Amino acid sequence: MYAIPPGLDGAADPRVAGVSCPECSGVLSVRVEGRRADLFFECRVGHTFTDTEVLLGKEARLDAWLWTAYTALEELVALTTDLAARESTPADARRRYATRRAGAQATANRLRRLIDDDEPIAFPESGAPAVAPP
Amino acid sequence: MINADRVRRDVIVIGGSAGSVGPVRELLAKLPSDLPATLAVVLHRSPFYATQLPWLLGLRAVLRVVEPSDGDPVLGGVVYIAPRDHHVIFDDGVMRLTRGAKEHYTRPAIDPLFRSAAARYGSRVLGVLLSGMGADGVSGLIAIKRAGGLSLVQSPSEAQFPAMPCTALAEDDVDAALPIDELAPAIVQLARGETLEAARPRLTP
Repeated sequence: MYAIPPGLDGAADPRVAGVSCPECSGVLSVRVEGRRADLFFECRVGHTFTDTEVLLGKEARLDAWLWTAYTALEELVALTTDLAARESTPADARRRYATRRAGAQATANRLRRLIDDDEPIAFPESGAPAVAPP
Repeated sequence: MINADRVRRDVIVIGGSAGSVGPVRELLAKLPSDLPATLAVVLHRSPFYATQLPWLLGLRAVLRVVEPSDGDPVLGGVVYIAPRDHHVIFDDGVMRLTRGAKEHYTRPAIDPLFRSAAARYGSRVLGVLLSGMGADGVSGLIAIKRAGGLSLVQSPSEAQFPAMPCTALAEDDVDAALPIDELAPAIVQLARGETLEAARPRLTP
């Protein structure tokens, strides 16, 4: 599945892109604009982006989703810990909670290391183009 | 020579982002009270914090500087500043405020203002893009030129953040790149339908 539709550079009209809108998840279309043939994305409801901005939006979403996943794991750890600690919890349930707590904690630790190791793209000046000032 | 056909460019739209508050204040301080034009300005600003941006921009301005309300008539001699969290667009003789989709992750954004001016007023439009990061306003400037209007950018060498002027210069035939001191008289001349002598902007040093 492509991100940028093949054959876009000669096309006069916008084409449907293979990635979704970073703001609303709607369908994105893309057209070529300007002397430098830059990509200009627009979704169904009117969010617009340069190619750099789409990329940065996907980076931001990835970061948010990774932390959402980390939060889910941390909540599993907290829930299984507290439920196991209740006096009314029977012993067999307590063992199941403890097993899941250890697994979720291990996965959370691995995910945390992944987040630390993952380097998002960086630009010299917030998407500044590679053009020397006159 | 710019504006050889002596069209009155009396709808002046200005866009700026990082590093453009000072330049807009300078610009407005230098525009005369009898300027025969309507101005609309979009500066990127937080959608969440109420600020006194129009007051700040208008401190030394002689023209009236206001945040328009939805449906206000388009008047000459007034500078309309886009309020927080709203795009400002030219409609049929009135200013429209909308909470339309964010463009380039921002509202207000420059492109919707520029596009609406181009669609309504065609060759009467002068688009001016100032200091800022990213590329908001570039697509709008292209639309203005395509509709017969003119485009100016702040000199990248003067702009605190030259990305927006640079991108415009790389993407389109911008009519001139000028420092703020020269932008103000250029706007006055073009609003009056006079010609303007300015060097063709160059892309490379």
